[in-house]
Amino acid sequence: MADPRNTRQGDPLPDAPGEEARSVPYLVLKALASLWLTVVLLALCIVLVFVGSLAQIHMDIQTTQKTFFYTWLVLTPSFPIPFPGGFTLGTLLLINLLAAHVMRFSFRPERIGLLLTHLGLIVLLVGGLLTALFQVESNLTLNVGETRNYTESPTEYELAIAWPSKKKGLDHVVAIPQWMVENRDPISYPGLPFTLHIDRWYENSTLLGPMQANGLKPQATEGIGAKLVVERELPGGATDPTNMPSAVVRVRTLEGKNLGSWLLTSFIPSPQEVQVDGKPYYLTLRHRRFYKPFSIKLLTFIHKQYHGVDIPKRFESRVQLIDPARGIDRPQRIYMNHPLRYDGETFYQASFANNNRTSILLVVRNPSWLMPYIGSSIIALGLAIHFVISLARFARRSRA
Amino acid sequence: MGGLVLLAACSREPIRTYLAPSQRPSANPLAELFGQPQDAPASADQAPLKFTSPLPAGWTSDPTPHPMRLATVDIKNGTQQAQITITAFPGDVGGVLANINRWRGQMELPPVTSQEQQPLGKITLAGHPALLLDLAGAPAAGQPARRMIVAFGMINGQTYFIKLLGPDGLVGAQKKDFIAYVQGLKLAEVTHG
Repeated sequence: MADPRNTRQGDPLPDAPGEEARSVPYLVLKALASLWLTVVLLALCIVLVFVGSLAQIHMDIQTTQKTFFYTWLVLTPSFPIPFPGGFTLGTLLLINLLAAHVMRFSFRPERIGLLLTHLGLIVLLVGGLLTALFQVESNLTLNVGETRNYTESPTEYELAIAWPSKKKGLDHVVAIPQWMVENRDPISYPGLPFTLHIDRWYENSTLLGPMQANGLKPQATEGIGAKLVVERELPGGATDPTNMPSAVVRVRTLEGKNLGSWLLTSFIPSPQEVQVDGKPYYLTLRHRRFYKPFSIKLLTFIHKQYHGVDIPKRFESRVQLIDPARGIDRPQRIYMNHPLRYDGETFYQASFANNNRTSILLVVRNPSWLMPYIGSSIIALGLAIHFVISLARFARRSRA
Repeated sequence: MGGLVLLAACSREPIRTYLAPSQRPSANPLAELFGQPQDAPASADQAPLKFTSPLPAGWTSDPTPHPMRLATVDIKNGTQQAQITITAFPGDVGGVLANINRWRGQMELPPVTSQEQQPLGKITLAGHPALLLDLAGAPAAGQPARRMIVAFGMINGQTYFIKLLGPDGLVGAQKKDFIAYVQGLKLAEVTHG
């Protein structure tokens, strides 16, 4: 942030009337470099953090982040008027800091500590913004003995259409992102002999069997969904943020023939077969997948508790990392504070389930993961230098 | 930098295409709802809840597969017959109140407006807390009064229903065995796919 002293006794702004001082760019730059702007922005940040924290009573953490912090404008009943979001405030703080340096920059050796501190702040702000924009989080859920080469988004879903390829054991897959399904526009893809029409979309749903349906008719006409009724549920809240979406999808050939409708639901991860022109196609509504060029196999999962209580003492996944392209096939331990870092991703031990036979790893891809470390180091260095310079100045004055 | 930020903020994920290992439909997709191994039939022995003790005298397991049902047990005493059915569904299946009123409707009883209006007992189901509902229906013309006892609770995100339904006298006589049977059920040793 801007150094308050600069406005009083540092390098005074050229306020004297003159051509330069009256020019519009100069006035804009001066306004952007204002210490008042810094104070107002920091005050708005405090309000945003406060309201965002309270919002977590009713929202899960990811919805809160999207609504308040990873957005330019907050549009929620929590604020009676649109309020600047985290992106806006962070960007304005960054501009304010840069403008202050442009307006007041004059290099003197005794100020190098402060300059470094501000540089570290800039790195932190930019790093925070890049993390918010480009970080991708997913889960890797593995049963003991299972090998997977993909991770799954915990919150986003996709509609997958698969059909056999010429390569044995491999399918062609077309993955339709959730937002396209939500839009409910007809979905087609070059080479597919049909279009999908999303008759119904349920962001969160529950399924009822014939006994529970109380006379309600199943919405789908084909597949397992022809026996089930799907009902809308309120989206997940703070205590259970997981949504279980469902969609009723009608399949229509390119010639316009209606083949029926299928219930695709996150409750049933198994694909459902649709025959079109004598060829099988497989439809699934599933967590969005991120395929990797390597595989991870869960060898064992260890869960130890403190004696006499249920409190976990330690949980650890022992995995085999397999990357044929790089000739890697090695065992690896993943436990608290000891993630696996590989191929630009970090695998943290996050949770477990299924009587300790399933391990859940949090997988984070963050291209800017080093920036907080770099920014903090620069700030620490700057503060240390500034402290030493101030101490030396104080010692000189004391001697005088 | 600004352009990069705007590009990232405005871009939406496109359709992706790739080759991936084949995944074929389950032989029994309903089994996935119940957390069973994919190819397991919905029989009593392989249901997510398994029997841990022999059935009491007069109880017989019905091997006939029924849609949406995990297991069926028939109870006979002379000419009277009652039945235990075990079903499971993901989620709360509409919630406790909706289920209570569904069962009350089956017993031709008026609905209640809140859960508190319906007395419910507590029971343990595979180590998890569950509820016990006991409903006696009004006698119909020429028919003995019916009675329904249901144990239900949520385990690993699925609601399990164990329901005993039959003539009032027979169900009442079997209530003690039914509760012991429910409390003897355990989660099967299955691996979720």
